[in-house]
Amino acid sequence: MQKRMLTGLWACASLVVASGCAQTSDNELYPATVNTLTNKQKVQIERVISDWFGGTKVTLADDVFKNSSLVTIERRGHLDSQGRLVDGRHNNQAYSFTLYKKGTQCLLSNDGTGQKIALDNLECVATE
Amino acid sequence: MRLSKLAAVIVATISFSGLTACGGGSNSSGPAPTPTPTPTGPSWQPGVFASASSLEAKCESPRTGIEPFTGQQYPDEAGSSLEEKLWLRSWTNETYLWYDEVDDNNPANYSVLGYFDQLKTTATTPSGTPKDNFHFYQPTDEYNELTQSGVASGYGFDWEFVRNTSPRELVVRFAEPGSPADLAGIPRGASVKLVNGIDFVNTNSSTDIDALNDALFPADNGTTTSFVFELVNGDELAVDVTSADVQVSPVQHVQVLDTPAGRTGYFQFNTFIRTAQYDLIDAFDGFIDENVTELVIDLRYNGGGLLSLASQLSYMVAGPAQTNNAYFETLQFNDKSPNRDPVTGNVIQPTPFYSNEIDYNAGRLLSAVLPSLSLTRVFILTTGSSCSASESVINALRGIDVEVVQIGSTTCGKPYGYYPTDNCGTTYFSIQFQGINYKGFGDYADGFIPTETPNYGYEVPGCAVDDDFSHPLGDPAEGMLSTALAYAETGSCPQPVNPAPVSPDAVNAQSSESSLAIENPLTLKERLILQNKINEPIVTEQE
Repeated sequence: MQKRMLTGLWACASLVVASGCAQTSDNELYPATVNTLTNKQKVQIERVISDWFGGTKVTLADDVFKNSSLVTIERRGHLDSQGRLVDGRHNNQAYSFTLYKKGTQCLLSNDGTGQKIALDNLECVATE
Repeated sequence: MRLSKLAAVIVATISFSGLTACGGGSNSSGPAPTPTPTPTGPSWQPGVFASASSLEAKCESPRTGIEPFTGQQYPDEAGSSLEEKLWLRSWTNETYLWYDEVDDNNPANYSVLGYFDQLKTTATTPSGTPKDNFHFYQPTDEYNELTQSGVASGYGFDWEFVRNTSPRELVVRFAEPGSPADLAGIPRGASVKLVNGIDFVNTNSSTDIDALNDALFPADNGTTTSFVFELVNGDELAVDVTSADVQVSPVQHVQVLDTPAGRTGYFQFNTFIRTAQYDLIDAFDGFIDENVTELVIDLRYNGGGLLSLASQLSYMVAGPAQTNNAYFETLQFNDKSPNRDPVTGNVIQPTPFYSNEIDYNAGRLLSAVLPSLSLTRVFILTTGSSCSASESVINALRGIDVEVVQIGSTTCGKPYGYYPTDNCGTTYFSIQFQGINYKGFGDYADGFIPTETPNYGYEVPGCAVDDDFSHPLGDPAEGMLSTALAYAETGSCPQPVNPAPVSPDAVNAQSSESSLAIENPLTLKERLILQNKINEPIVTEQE
């Protein structure tokens, strides 16, 4: 909880520096989730993340951000012609993304780079 | 394309030679010919290997733009297929585990991918199977595809391909909790009979098989398919199921059983993914609270994954005293790299038994210590689908003298690993290291074999038992679990131990070469199966 708050404050501070936004409650960032998510909205989130990775295909769960403000993605596990995981012993990197609510906006944050993008036509709810 | 380029070079060389010869005869009487540069590209010389680094990223079709994962420009330069093949050859010579068992064939006789395909050992294991069954490549953009951790696309079935030729048999191992298959009430052991009205078992029509592939492994979510199953009790179940991108539950059926051998913990563990960490911790916390003295880990469908999570699981079984000053696994590369990892250049450091939680997003250890049972014996349920990191758990625990009792069938036999490496848009998987436990053992290329009379390092005390689809997973009456419980009580395998297979003549009838065969299985999560070559595999097979 405390960690989340700190994350939110840090993220807000970053945004302040980046955009010069005023530090009002409407401009603070709060980790957020969604109550409902259409396939179109999910595709929008996938597209934003995909763009951050140069167009790489991204697949998210149908209920992404419904139960958590954080989502982690990683390389998809591929199977060989005999049905075995090609890379069954690995320590691959993961990439995390956080959904924030800022005023009436929902922002998707690339936690690795700090980049944030507003998601149109998405309603989210601050979790704290 | 490659041949015509090569031909152009040859023509240029011949022309130059001709001009030189003519010019040589007219040196004193005419102007000196304009010097034409002699092609100086690399060439194949048997037994002579340029460094791989001098040949990398010299591509017949160089990529341009920004590399998605690094944000840097692609390193590709204009080159040739010959240079791509020579890079593969040198890279293999430098890093392949069995580089000295690879024939140094002339690359001119191969395509790039065909050349890679033969850059491997042809030796066999003691059982006669190829020693290197894991040589692989795929387009880099496919390799880089990303997915939310633990998300699988489809209906949520985990399939058992019992028989891939007519009469086919495709059985539900389990349905992911909360998945469309689960919500439709399709139980373990249900056997597919009809798919969208097509006779799954008997059809030999290519059109039908195409339709079956499309229906069983839909490309997109939202695809609704009508199934008719035959259940274990003989009843039929007709249901419509709609595909989705669902979050899988890697740890299932966590429970504590009161048995004659004592309080016995059990859980089914399907894949080593980062989202499993806290499920495992919760399970072990519960076992500790319940004073568990025996543990059964069901890895029968676990094909591996994160090695660090395998280390954490092993620690939670063995505890601090048994893991103190020991390591989970170290890597052995080829004899050119006894001390340094040839890919990273780092000194080889064993993977420890991780005793702490890991922040997998940040890639760092946390201060919280993992729970542990400090067991001296553990039962592990296996099948041929138990692979890689699953096998490393068995090997690592045996490396510190934790008694592993293996119940089920022989594991897949993959003590090996690699650094998937891109060159010119293709990612290559060539075995570069072998995992070795604390006792220095890692030779289980034929898998770990459960036996009552083990004689070799790859033979593990335990009982050979077939998978039992007639009972739910986690049911104490299920064949493999019941055998483990009986062994825990008596110290020996119950007789008989083998439950009836799914159908009398079905098991192990999968290897037909028929063009109408269904190809093995798990691949199904991503591609199909019903062979006749139905769908293009997401993972390209070697040519």
